[in-house]
Amino acid sequence: MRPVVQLTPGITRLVVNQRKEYLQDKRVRQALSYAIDRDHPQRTRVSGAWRTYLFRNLYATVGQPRYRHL
Amino acid sequence: MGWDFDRVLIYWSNTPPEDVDVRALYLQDAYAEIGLTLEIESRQYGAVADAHNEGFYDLTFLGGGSDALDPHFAIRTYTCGGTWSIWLGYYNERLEEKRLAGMSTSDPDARQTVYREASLILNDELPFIYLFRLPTVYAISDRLAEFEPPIWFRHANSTMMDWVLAD
Repeated sequence: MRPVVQLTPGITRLVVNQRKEYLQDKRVRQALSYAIDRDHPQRTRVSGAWRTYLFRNLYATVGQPRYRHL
Repeated sequence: MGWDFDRVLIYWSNTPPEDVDVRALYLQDAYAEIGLTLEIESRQYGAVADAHNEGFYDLTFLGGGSDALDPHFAIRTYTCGGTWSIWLGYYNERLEEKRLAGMSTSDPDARQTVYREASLILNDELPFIYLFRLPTVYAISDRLAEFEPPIWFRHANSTMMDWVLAD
C-alpha cells in the first residue's frame, strides 16, 4: 500500500457578507484577512494540532466518543 | 474607517452540533486579538443556505469549488448577478470586464495579463478571504499501476480504464 496525495481544486474560504453596510468597506475585509495566520486553520483542521483547540475552548466537546482517539 | 468595536460579528457554522468547527474557534481567537468580537452560532446547512439567500449572516466558511483550476473556472464565481455575487453582495464592473476579456481570447499572454489584473482586484477587495486547500489522500495497493489522482476526489474512478492490476 502506498499513499498518493493530491491537493483539492477547491479552496476553503471565509465568506463575508458585503450586503451588511459595516462589511462593505474593503479595509474591513483586509483587516479580517490580515488577522489570520494562514497556516493555523489548516493545521488545526488536518493534523493533530487541532486537539489543542479542543482542550482550551469552551465550545469543545472533549470526551465525546468521536474524539477519544486523539 | 469608523469601525464600531462594540459591534459583534455573527459567524454561522453549519458544522453538525456533535462536531466542532475548529476553524471558527481559531477565527474567534484571531479576531479577539485585533479587538473584534465574534460569536459563533451553529445552524443546519439549510438554515445557512437561507442565510446566504436572505443576507442576514456576517461570516461563514465555505470550502470546495474549483478556484484552483484554470482562472476562467475560478473567475466565474464572481460573475456579476450570479449566485455568489448575490450572496456576497459583491459586484465589480472592472472585474466583470476582465472575466469576459479572459474568455474572449485563447492567447496565453493576453490571458495572463487579463487574469493578473483580475487577481490584483480580488486581492485588493477580498470579496472572499481565501484560507487554504486540503489534501486528498489515496491509499493505493502496490498491485495497482497507472493510478492518476482525479481532479476531484468524487471522480476517483474516472481514470479506472487505465488502471492495471498486477496478479
